[in-house]
Amino acid sequence: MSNKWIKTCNKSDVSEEEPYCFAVSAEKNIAIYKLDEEFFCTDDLCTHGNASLSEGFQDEGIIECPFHGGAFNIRTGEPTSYPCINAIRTYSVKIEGDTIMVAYDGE
Amino acid sequence: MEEVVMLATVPERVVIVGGGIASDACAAELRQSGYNGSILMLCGEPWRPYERPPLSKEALDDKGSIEERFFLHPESWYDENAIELRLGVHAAGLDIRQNTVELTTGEKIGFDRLLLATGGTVRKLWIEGGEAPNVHYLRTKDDALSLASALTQGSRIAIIGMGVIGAEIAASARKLGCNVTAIEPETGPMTRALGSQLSNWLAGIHHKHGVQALYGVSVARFVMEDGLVRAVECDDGTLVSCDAVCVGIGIIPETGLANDAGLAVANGIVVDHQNRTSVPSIFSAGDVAELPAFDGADRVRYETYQNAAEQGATAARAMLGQAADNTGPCTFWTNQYDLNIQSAGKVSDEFSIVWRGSMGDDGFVAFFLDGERLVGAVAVNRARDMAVARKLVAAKIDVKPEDLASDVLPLRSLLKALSKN
Ligand SMILES: Cc1cc2nc3c(=O)[nH]c(=O)nc-3n(C[C@H](O)[C@H](O)[C@H](O)COP(=O)(O)OP(=O)(O)OC[C@H]3O[C@@H](n4cnc5c(N)ncnc54)[C@H](O)[C@@H]3O)c2cc1C
Ligand code: FES
Repeated sequence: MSNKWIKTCNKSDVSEEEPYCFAVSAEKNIAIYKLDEEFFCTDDLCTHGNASLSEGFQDEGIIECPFHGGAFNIRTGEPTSYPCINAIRTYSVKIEGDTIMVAYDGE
Repeated sequence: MEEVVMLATVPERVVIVGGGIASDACAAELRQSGYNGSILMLCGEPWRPYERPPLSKEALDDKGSIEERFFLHPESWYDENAIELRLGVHAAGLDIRQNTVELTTGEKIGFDRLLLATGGTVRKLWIEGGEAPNVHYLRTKDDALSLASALTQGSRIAIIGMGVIGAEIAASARKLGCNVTAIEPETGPMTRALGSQLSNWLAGIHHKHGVQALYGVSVARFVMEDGLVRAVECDDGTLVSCDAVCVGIGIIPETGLANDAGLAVANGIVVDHQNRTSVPSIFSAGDVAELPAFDGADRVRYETYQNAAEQGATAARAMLGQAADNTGPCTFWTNQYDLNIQSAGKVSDEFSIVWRGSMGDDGFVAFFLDGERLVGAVAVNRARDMAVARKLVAAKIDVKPEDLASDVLPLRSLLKALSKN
């Protein structure tokens, strides 16, 4: 399926301290981050377990999972800390006015 | 110390004895830190390194998952990173003069650096019938496979010990529709890990979910029939009929190799803040290692996942002569029913508690204070707060109780105030 831009939240909903959790479907959430006035988006679910990354600790470009010490690079989705091994998916983001749009293919 | 072979400045052969998370994290960190020499991991179990925490939780719901899932790394990762795994292999001896490990087969393996990450084995109940086939312990995948078979709908399960493992098995068994009776000598579940107030609260949760619990009583004997335990008799005379028994009464650190070789051993293998044992080329990490406590006052042995992983990584860096320090607070989590409980630092009745939210809410945090000093925190379904609380505890700071209690004040602002000071 080709990417569709979906409307998520407003720019003001996201801070560098608190990523925003957005439900794209009943089963799936994405996490939206603010970083140096830019916005990024990844899957919300940690690849290690059942944790919501938007509840984690964002330290500049790294999101630390709130559960077991794993962490990911927000820009690339690559794991940066044990025990996370698999990358999280990242999504393209664009801004329209105050709205954050995310390229999401429905999967 | 003079007898010890000189340390090769750059190690070329690292041998890891164990195969749990401390071992796996050590191997991963060695490669991450640029080590190019050989890594040989001697794994006592027939499985490549895996996660133990799911074994008392989600794995019990789905027996098939136990064999297939919960590995720390895919098999290919070990090949890609040139980590040689030998599964089902037991190190039987350690020669600290020759720097060799001897296997049960007699084979000798030399090393420049060694990690002893042998973990612990379950403490057994030494009473008649303690070895019966319907008495279960839980430490390994093999244990979980046999326990999962016993937890069938309607079966009567007697749980002995409501520590973390017992409490998790109780929750999983209720979810699977078993009739659960728990026998615990303390006044409630997980008293050692949570302190009495939170333990009482958790006792209420288990009660609400239908666990029949007998607190303040111990096991007197098993009533046997045809080689199986049919009932547990408690020291107050109560008789608990059962189809299976699950015993969760702790672990004994596997210090035998270190002991026999003459390394310093106390309540675990004695290591410094870099996980180095009394012999400079030998390191120890995880449940088997006894290290300087976070507050420096004492020596401790943790039995938690994240500490084991961090210690394995610390040992790896220290083996390579890189900066390494393991003196973070103890952290752990447990999942029971719909609760995610996370803990950091010291939790005990000797400290005062400041509540953020209150017990009984969907989520709350209990901060443990020694005077004004924040020493520990327990969060229930409050992952976001805990992500910060862990760092606050690690920072060893004095706090104002009202700041911790105020749900309007983001905890992160306390951390920020700290970095400004
Ligand atoms: C069911 C269960 C649930 C848990 N849940 C949680 C949780 O929710 N949260 C948490 O923080 N912690 C939890 N833990 C604790 C956590 O799993 C342990 O702290 C962690 O596994 C310790 O890792 P380790 O590598 O030190 O030792 P271990 O995992 O014990 O691994 C040691 C390995 O060494 C092998 N070995 C021993 N001697 C030898 C030898 N001579 N030669 C070769 N191999 C040898 C053993 O067979 C074993 O496989 C749980 C533990 C269990 C059992
Ligand atoms: S769930 Fe994220 S590190 Fe375990």
